This record gives sequence, structure tokens and C-alpha cells, in this order.
Amino acid sequence: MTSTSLLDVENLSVGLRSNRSMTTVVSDLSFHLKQSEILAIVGESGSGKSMTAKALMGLLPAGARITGSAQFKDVDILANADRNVQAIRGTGIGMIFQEPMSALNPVLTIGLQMTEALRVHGLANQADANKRAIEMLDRVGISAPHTRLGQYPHEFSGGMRQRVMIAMTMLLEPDLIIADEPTTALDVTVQAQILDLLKEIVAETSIGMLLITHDMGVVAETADRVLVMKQGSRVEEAGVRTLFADPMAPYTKALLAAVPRLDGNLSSPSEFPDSDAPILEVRNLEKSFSKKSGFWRTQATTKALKNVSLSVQEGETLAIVGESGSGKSTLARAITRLLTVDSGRVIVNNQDFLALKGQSLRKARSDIQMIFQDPYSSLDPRFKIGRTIEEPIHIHQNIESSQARKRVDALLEQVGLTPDMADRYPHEFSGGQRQRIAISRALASSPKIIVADEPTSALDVSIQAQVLDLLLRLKKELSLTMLFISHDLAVVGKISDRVAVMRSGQILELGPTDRILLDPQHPYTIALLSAAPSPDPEREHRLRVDLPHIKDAGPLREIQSGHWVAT
Amino acid sequence: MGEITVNTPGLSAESTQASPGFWRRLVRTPNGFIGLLIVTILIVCAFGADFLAPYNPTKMGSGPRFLPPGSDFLLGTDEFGRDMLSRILYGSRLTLLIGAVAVGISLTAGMLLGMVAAYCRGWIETVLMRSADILFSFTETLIALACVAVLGPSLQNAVLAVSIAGIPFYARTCYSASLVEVSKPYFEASIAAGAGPFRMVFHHLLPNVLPTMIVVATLGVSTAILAAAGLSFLGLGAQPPTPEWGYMLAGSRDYINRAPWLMTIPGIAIAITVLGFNLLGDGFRTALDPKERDR
Repeated sequence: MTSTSLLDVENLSVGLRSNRSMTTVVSDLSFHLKQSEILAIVGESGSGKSMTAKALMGLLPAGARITGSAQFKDVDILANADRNVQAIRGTGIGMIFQEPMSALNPVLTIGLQMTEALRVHGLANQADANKRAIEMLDRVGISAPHTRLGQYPHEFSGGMRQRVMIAMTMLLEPDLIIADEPTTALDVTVQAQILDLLKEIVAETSIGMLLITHDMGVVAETADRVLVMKQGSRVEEAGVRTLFADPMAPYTKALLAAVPRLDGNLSSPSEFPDSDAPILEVRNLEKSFSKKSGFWRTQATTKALKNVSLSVQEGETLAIVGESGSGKSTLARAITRLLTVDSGRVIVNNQDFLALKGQSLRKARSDIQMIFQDPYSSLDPRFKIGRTIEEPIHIHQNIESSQARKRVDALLEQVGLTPDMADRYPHEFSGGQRQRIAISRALASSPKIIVADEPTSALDVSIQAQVLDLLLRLKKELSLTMLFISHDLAVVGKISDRVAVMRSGQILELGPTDRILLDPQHPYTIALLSAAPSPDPEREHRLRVDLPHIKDAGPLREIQSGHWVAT
Repeated sequence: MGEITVNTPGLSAESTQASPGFWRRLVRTPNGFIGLLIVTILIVCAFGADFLAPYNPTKMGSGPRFLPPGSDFLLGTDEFGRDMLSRILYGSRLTLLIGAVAVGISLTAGMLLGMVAAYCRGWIETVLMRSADILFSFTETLIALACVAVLGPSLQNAVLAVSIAGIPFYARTCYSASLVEVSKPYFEASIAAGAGPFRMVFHHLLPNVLPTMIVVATLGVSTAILAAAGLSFLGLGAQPPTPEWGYMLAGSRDYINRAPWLMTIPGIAIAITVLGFNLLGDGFRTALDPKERDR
């Protein structure tokens, strides 16, 4: 143990009580953290990374069993009976959580929440605390900080809230920060800013940081050392460059291989000549959501789609990329008619899809199917999965049950599951399996078009890779046309032929995947690409481009064959 | 564990099958155990009244009048010399029947309205739910009284009145439970697959709101029993000589000084029954709650 060692965790084991038995979620974990160092703990869900953080902060549920020791400032912070330890946890260790909204109290002002800890610990009086809070808000890059103390959390955006959380933590001048997935809930451009901020803080104040994350890109960009965990145990620990360049453990290798990359192996986009009869054509789609306020008037209209037009050729995969609030999911739901639009047309297979009604609409729906983001809620919990998959078959084809059953078996095999699984309920499956079931349901009515709304974002990275491979294979085998909605440019690069970049309900850039990813033209696309964390610590970090403020983009202009950019 | 959207499968997911674990969890909670015990005893009494009752409940002069509880007549006799124990036992049959029928009618109608409103949205939703709101603004008893006034006093009409008065409550509860389900992706996935309204409401919506509604209905049985007993007490429900608890309570009012047990015993019976159903409802809720699952 060197003199600069800040935190020494030895043989940490955590057991949780479930169903009257103990499950070990962390076993025999040891690591050390030095000053001015960022140690990333990486793993997929169930790896025990969050439980490790919670154990250190004393936030484990009652009945958890902790063994081992964690020396912080010559005190074992795992011996949590000691009052002294509580004080050290409060002032010496700061914690930043994933969800900045739920970590702040919505009914108290930011100022009150920020200064509370200072006052409680007797470190400052109110006036002094306010002054320091303002300084700290300024430090984390919040504009006009003196006016902010009286504001409430809902007046801040997600990224701003996370900045406030960081400021709040830093006010207590901790020696160690534990950040549990600090950017997972944020958009990629905001994530880049927050990561830069965290790195700056560590560099300036020479504190140590424990960064818990599932994202290899985030690790590569921020961490000095990396600890890879799997099922509660350490798999590998190494410096970040070593780990990415020369991973030792097979699991680390597999994990790194599964991470989609922006450079390297782009799907070679196939050329789809503009035919006169695209299989899907969207013309001038408009949708606005109005929030009712007051008794009579409707106010606060938000335009979710502004004059969106695009067309997809048969067999082509068009990706729609954008951050939250860009209107990409609204577009998906408008095309599948899960919501009604204000104006515009959707032409599927030479049929005006939005004009159909009743029986003919239900029939036409079989041509265009959807895959949802959340595999947990997209299957009826009360249906055996065989029945779920059978449903579209029964609705559209008048065939006997034994025939339908055969089709279900074939569909299950097609997505890499086995026919005997048809008799189980959704909760008996893992997330990746459920997404496979959802895919087979979408295929059941033999659709021409599949609309996939973030189908892999709720999945672990290794599962994501498998599901993407499955979609790629199905696309080839069945020559499916796909509309692939995603926020992740690297994923998009793997699967799509063309990409449309959306923001504030408009398409800003549309073109072949390689052109968009390698030679983006619109300032927003450039910003989006530069913000995406890349899983390669060796690479020179791209220049962060500040987000351009665009109110209303002009019409699309073709700058090269097939590459359209908004003016 | 701190992943993006690792939702725990909700209440609906795992309560799907009335798994053996469900009943085990139910009797493990004190509320559920006592509630189940009381309701089971009630059901035994109701079904076994023919064998358990020592006398004919409506036969006058089974014994002397106003006999206090004793060895021959365990709960005493009333003003006509009828055996109180037998009347209470037969009364339990009526009480359960009233509770079941009234809740059955309000639950069915209410759920249908609630599910249709949540599924259709638009003007249908507005009309149905605003009507429910209007009915809500009157006391249930008042609506029941108005119904009986129109239909005329009889036990059947009292039950019908209680059922009608209960509809808005079940409609509203079912409506809000349905709204949650309707917005879930699995629901949209089936619509996108081309499923029609009938399939959506009865195959997807109904099974998913049912657990919630069973809890609500169990709690509602006690309200219905109380309301029906209240109507009988006012002379608008059961007519003589039916051994209905509410009516027995009313009929013995004149003898409260002379024979206090005549009023006390039906009162206690009603109270215990109501308590039993409330505890059972509470137990159901706990046993179906995934958060309570591992306790």
C-alpha cells in the first residue's frame, strides 16, 4: 500500500437475501484507488458493479451481508456501526447517481439542497454556503449561477441536473467520488460534456474517482485503470491502454469485440436505386402534441414532426438517428399508425396507409410490424409466448391450430430459440431472449416492413451484438425492409444502408451510411459524431464540437447523389 | 443493477398464474390469514346452514320468546320465539349472496365501462367517465335509496340498487388500471399486428387488469353487504320473515332494553363479516404485490 493510496478494498463480498437464501452478488473483490486516478468498474447487468458501489456507500438494502474491508483515510468504512464512519462517508466520499431527476428533491430549490449538507455538517453558515454554492455552479459550467439557487429541479434539463448533482457533491470537497453510471440517462452530446467535466475535476483537485459503467466507450475516454467484473468477481484489471490493446481474459476480449465501433466494419451499404415505387413513402408528415392548460384553451403545442418526408426501397434498411426529443420515436409510431398525425401521407406498398379504416386497416397492418425498445413490457405477461407469436397468424390467416403451431415453432427456431419454449411465460426469459421473441412475433405475419424502435438499447452489449447479428441475418434471409430507430451511431453503422439524422422533429441530413458517418456535412451530425465515445483510448480524442443552435432547418438539398443536407 | 431500463416485471407479470406461492404468501400475512379464516367460516355457515341450524329460522315458537342465550338456544330467541342461531346461520347465506351478486353485477358492468373507455379514448371516454364522475358526486347510499324508491322495496331490488350504486367506483378503478396497460408496448404491438377491439379488450386488457380488480372487489364485498344491510334496516330491503341481518337489526330495535342480544348479535355478525372481507382484500393486495414477494 503506497502512501498515495486513497481507497483499499480487500476481499469484499456482498450477499443479498432473496427468497430466504443468500445470493452472493460480489465475491472476494480487491482493488486499490490512488489519488487523481479514475478507476472504472465495468460489467454487464448482474456483474455486481453497482453493488460494490452501494456497499462502499453503505446503501445496501437491510439484510445484506458484507465481509472484507475497505480502508479509506485509515478507517474501515465497511464497519458501518461507527458514527465516525458515517461522517467520513458524508464528507469524504461523494456519490453521483444515474438518474439526476430522482436524486434531487423536486419540491426544494436547488440552493436549499446544495447548501443543506454544508449546514448540516456545520461547515458554513447560510450566506457563506450560498456563496460557495454559486461558485461551484459556476465551476461546473452552469450559466448565470447566482440566479439558479432559487430554481427548482424541473427548471433544469437532464444534463444540467447532473451538473448540479456534481456541484453538490463537490461542495463538500470529498477526497473520493463514486459515480454510478453518471451519464447513462443522458444524451450522447450531453454525456460528452459531463465526462469532460468529471475528468477536469479529477485533474484539478487530485481526488480519486470510482466510475461504475457498462459502456466501454465511456471507459476508454475517461478511465486511467479498468476493473472488469462478471457475476460478482473480478475478471481482469489493467491500465486502460493495456486493457484495450491487449486484453488478457477471454471475457474481456468478447466484451470488447461486442462493442459496436464507429470506425471499422461499417456495413457495406447496398445501393438501392430510386425506383418509382418505393415500398414505404412518407410525405410531409406533421404531428404536434398539445398540452391542455386552462379550461378552454389548449396551449403549449410542441411540434414533434415538422414536414418529414422520406422513402425506403424494398430490402433497404434506413436508420433514423437522433437524441431524445428528436421525434424519431414519434415518426416510428406515426408510420405504424399507433398515433394519428396532423397531416401528411404514409404510403405502404402503393396503398395510402393513413387513409385505411376498419377491416382493411387491420389487414394492411400485417405488412408493417414493429419491434419495441423494452423487451420486458412488449410481451403480454399473461400470454404464453407461443400464444403471443401465434396471435398475428390467427388474426390474418385462417389456418388450423396445428398449422399455426408449426409456424410458431419455425419462427422460434428462426430467431435462435427452441420450440419447447413456446409454453413458457415472458417472465421466464432473459432480456435478450424476450427481444428475440418480440422479433419473431413481428415476423409472424410475414411483414414487408419492420420498424424497430431502439431494439437493442435496453440490452447488455454482448446481447446487443447477438440481436444485431440476428436482425442482419433475418434481413438478408427474408429480404426485409427495415426502419431502424436508434440514438447510437455505432449500432447504426453496423446495420443500415442509409441514415437519416433527426433533431427537433426535422430531418437534418440523409444519405448513405458511410457518407454520413465518415463525411458528415450538417453541423449537428458533426457534433453528434464527435460526442460519441469511442472504445479506443489510443485514439486522439476528437475535438468536441459545441451543439449548434438550430431553430428551424431549411429544406433538404442534395449535395451529392443521394446525400441530402438541410440548409 | 443500475442498467438503463431493467424494469422489474411488474405486478402483472408474475401474478399471472395463481401459483402455489400466491396462497402461501396470502396465509403468511396476518391480514390474509385471519380474513381467509373468517370468510371460510362464513362460506361453511352459508352452505351448511341446513345441517348446522338447530331449528327452522322462520318457524315461530321454536322456544319461548325473548330467551337469553343459553344451552338450548345458544344465541337466544327473538320476539316470536325463533332461534337466533338458526336465523344468523341462514342470514349468512343471504349476506354472502347479496355481497357476491351485488359486487358481481357492479364489477362486470364497471369493468366493461372502464375498459371500453380506456381502449376507445376520445368522446366515448369523455362521456363514460364524466357520467361516472356525476354518479360519484352522490353518496352511494343515496343512489341506492333512489333506485329502491323507483323499483319498490324488496331484497332483490335492494341488491340491484346496491349494484347500480357501485358501478361508478369499479368503472373508475378499472379505467385507471386499464390506462396503464393500454400504454404498454405489448398492447401497441398487438394493435400493430392487426388485432381488433374485441381481442384487445378481452384477450389482452381483461386478464391484465383482473388481479387489481379482484383485490378491489374483495374490499367492495364488505361495502355492498353494509349497504344492503342498511337498506334492509330502513325497511327497503329484505321483508319479514326473511332472516336478513340488516332487517333483524331493525326489527329488534324496539326491544333493545328488554333483549339486547337481539340487536347485538346481528350487529356483531355484520361487523365480523365486513372485517373478514376487508382483511382478505388486504391480504390479496399484499400477496399480489411483487415488492412484498420475498418477505
